[in-house]
Amino acid sequence: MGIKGIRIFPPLAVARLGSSPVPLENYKLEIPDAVSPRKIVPASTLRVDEAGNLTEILSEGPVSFRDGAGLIHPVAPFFEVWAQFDRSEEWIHLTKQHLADQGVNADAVSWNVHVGNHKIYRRTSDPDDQIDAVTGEFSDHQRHELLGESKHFIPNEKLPLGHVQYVKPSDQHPEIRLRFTPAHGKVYGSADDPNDPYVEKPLYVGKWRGYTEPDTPKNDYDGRRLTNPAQIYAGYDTPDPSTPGGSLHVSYGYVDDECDGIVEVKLKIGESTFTAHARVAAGPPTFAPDSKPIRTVADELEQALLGPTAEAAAEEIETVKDIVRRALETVRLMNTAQMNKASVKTRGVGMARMDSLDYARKSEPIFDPEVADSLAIRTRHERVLLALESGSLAWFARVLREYDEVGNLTDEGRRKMPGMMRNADGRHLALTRRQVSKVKAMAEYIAANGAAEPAKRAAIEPINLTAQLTHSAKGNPPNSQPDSAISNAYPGLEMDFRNIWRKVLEGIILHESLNFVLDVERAELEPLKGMLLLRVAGINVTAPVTGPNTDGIVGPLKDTTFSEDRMSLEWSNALATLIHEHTDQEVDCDFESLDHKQQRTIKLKVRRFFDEGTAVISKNIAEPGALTQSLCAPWQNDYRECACFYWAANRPDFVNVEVGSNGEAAGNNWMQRDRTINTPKVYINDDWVDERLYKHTELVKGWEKLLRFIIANQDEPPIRQ
Amino acid sequence: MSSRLRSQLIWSTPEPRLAVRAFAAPTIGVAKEEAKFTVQVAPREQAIRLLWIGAEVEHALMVEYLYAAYSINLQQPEEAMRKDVMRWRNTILEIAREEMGHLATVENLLTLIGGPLHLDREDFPIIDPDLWPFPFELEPLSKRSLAKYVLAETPSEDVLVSLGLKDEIDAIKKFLKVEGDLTVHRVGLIYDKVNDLFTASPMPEGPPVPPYTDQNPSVATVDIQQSTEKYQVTPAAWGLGYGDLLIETAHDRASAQKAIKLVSEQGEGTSAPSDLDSSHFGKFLKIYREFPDTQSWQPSHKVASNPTTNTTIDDPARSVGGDACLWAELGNLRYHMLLLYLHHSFLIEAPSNGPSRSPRGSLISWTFGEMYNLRSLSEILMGMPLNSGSDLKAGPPFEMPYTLTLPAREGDRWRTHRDLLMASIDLVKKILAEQPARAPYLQALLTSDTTTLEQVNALVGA
Repeated sequence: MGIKGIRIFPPLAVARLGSSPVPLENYKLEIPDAVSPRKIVPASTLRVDEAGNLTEILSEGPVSFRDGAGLIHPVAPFFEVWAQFDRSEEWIHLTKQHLADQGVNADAVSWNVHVGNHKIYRRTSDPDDQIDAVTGEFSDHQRHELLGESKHFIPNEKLPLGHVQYVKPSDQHPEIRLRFTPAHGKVYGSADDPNDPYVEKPLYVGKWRGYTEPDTPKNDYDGRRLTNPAQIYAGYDTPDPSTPGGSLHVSYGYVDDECDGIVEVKLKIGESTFTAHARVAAGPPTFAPDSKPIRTVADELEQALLGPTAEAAAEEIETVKDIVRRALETVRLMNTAQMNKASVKTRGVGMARMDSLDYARKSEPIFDPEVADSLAIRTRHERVLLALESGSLAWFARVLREYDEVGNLTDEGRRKMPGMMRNADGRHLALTRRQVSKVKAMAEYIAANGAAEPAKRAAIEPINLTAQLTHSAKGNPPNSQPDSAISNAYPGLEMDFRNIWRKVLEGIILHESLNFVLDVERAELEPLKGMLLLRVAGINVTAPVTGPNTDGIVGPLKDTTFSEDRMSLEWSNALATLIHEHTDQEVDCDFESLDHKQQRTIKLKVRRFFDEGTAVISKNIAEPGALTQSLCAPWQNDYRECACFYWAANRPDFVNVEVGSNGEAAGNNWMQRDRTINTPKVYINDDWVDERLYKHTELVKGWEKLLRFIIANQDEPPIRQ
Repeated sequence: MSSRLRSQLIWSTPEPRLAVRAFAAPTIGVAKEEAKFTVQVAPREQAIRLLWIGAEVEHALMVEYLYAAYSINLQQPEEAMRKDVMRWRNTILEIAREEMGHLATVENLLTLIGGPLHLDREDFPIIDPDLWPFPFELEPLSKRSLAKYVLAETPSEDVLVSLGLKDEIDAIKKFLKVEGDLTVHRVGLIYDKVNDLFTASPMPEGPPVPPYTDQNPSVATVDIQQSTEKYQVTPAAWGLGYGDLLIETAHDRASAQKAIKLVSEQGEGTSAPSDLDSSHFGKFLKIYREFPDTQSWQPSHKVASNPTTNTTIDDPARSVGGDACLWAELGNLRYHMLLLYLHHSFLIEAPSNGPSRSPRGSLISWTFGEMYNLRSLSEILMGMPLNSGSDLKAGPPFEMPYTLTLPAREGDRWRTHRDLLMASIDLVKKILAEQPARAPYLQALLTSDTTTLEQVNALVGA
């Protein structure tokens, strides 16, 4: 039987940084009961030696996330090649026997991997700041280093971004697979500061060191093009000579070794050549590996694939439980009493402060403080989960925030769920439209059919692209899956998913976070550059912002940067129907100038999000380096002094939580230096100056030993320095 | 109502000044009545006793409505039927939630004037012919039960006439065979009297002196304690701030009267037709009209009325037995826990937005947690036979505990919560051993209770 086509599964995998020479072993996450933390259980692990030989092991546990030297095991995902044969719709993991049947051997398979780190380029716009590593085509089984190159590196210096290895198929393990191993998590400096103690070594020679962004950008192209949030790179502040009272954030010129890119495979049989590709992104470890974020990249991909509306089906019962469980896992690691507080001046509180800073909303707590304690909030989530476990209908759809109501900053609007967390557009978190729809669909299903047994997982069939998206390659731990990566990307941890939408309309490049045309790809579209996109195919991409002003009067609120009373909606939710209903079609796009005086309507074609018939993000919509380009630089900047308390499942906040003497939650800040068993359970607020917390400069070099894994809400023991 | 509570209360005298909620208005002329006491009772004490009656009614109605809503069979053969029953269920649950808000508002008013809280009531069926011609009953949703709910929330005759609904309501009375001069008294009149008691007295303010009722007919200003507001429950804490839960706090006469007025209007609506759809009366009337007259389809499960775990009651149509027995017992236990958490939350001062903190938030969360649990237990029970050999399904008995009095000392209150939690843990383990099919829910309940127990134990020590 001949081969009809090939695919790489999973279509997207997450690698995670760590400098241990041994990748993280595989594990499973088991659910002991509805409300207990997931249990980490060893699973079949694949080890690959330097020559590409594979062995399979199963450890006795417990699973360790770092080695004996205290170094973190990197997450190094496998990519499997699957094939579809004549007269069958089934996808089968390709083996050397299949190749032999076709008269070829493993050499007929060749790989090419291209990854990029475009973080500096995203800020400076200088193409010479792009860092890319390309392996070139290879069929051997040696390690191929991913060495990032840039015209702005010291001559002969390269940025190690990890390595890839085509695993040698054997009689025991005949399958065709490649392993991607990410970099160590090092940070490099600039040549003009050769003695910087916080970096691995100098590497960079361009203008990134000394690059500045103002704290009060002007309403012009330069002001609008900045990342959102801006100034998210390591540096220092200095007065802005052009703006009285303003400041500039000056870059230290740091370069980290995160990246994202494309893994391509080619299979040549006679005159036929089959190709496939997949994507990879390398980000930081999941520091609470028994927890999952409430809104993940998997949720985004599913919505992009299937649209925003879920149908009533048995499997949604488990899905909705999983959504609530993920919410519970998040609030377990959040100091909700602290996050609920209002303050304009004091740092280290949550969204209430952001609303005041960003929209001059009246400063007040989000929820009544008496019910915002972490244990009280946890109880509410536990009991909802319990009710779902008993077979009750999901009744809470009405309290979920709708995607286009994120600008509702009234008391009622801010108290919608999920609460106290930040969305990819900077305001309060909304689930994906499909997640909300699932909650409603689950209720409909149970109403019509009763609470059924959970549906069996679908087999991998070409028509079932969802199964392809969620495929777990053998040996890949759960934290390599897209459902381990956060997607309330502001800007994100593993990848900034907002970047996928920049090129959704052929001919223009949108800002990843704003309805702003950053660039154009065709000369005739040049007038659109610097304009605002208002509608696509009649779909509004902005929403009004309302709430009480500082006098408590409810009405439109204007942002404190550009004085607009409408905000950009995050692309994922706003454009969910666009790509579902209008892919490859030309649609009317309405634009407006920054001063709102000129309007233009022009037809643009909607790009494919996934390549046709696949679940892999199209090559045309995001180039290597695009998905990580707007993340913090270096990524450690998002771990301290960044008000990023809304990714608790991956970046914990409130740890070692126990019942305090007054019955309320008592615990430590994850950034607190002193965290022994005898340390008083007192949460130290991150006010950016408290010396009892790690400084972000310490994290740049020392993160691997300073940041500790949290399992069942408890610290791992301190790491020897 | 309990006989001691309603003793010394008579119904007579002039027309009420404020048209408030009618508990029932089956006969003309009843509206002219007023609740009075046969003995000398100070105005504050009068208000407390009347609010206790209001609390019992709101409590009983809330539980009745919950029971009716959970009895609805959502698995109907046709799409249109499924949509109807889902809508009815949601509406009745919403009304039950609002009754809970009314109960909380009444407790807030008691708190305002320093009265003891009242969360107690009689067990079902509650028979009080002086107040209401039908027993208060836990029963599945039916045309007949809906008719009772409509009448329970009916506004005054004047309002019915102005809304053009008098004939329809008369027909409903006829359907229920309410005829003749039944002695029925409107609970609205009780709220009416409470409203009067909060009206400023023409007499000089100051400590009340006997004879109270004639010369000082109002609750004295010194007894309206603004400082109690920090003990009252707020919509922000209870409903997490969602707009549809009416819970009123009060700090003076005007806010107390506003609270009474809003509670009344949410029940019966006003003479404005636009308010009809949002009132309990209007909502029930709509469902009543839509509900099938015939046996052509059954919107509800065949659920027992007034199920009981009381072994002294030998009634095969009520006695819960077999596998359902332990679940009913668990339901009663969790209901007990709910009421004590709720009661206790009124005894602890709400923390300010500062460093001071208190376990009140946890008590409120646990109260809501038990509401979720009771929802689960109700649905589980309504899927089980009432007892062996019965073709009726069981239901939660909502039986009252022997007492809802909390100990005088704070540590002992937490000991009471601890004891109930431990009893529940033991009972859950027993059910787990006997009925392992429900293990996922029960195991998770155990885990959650263990965490709560840890928290409660810390507070016993505090």
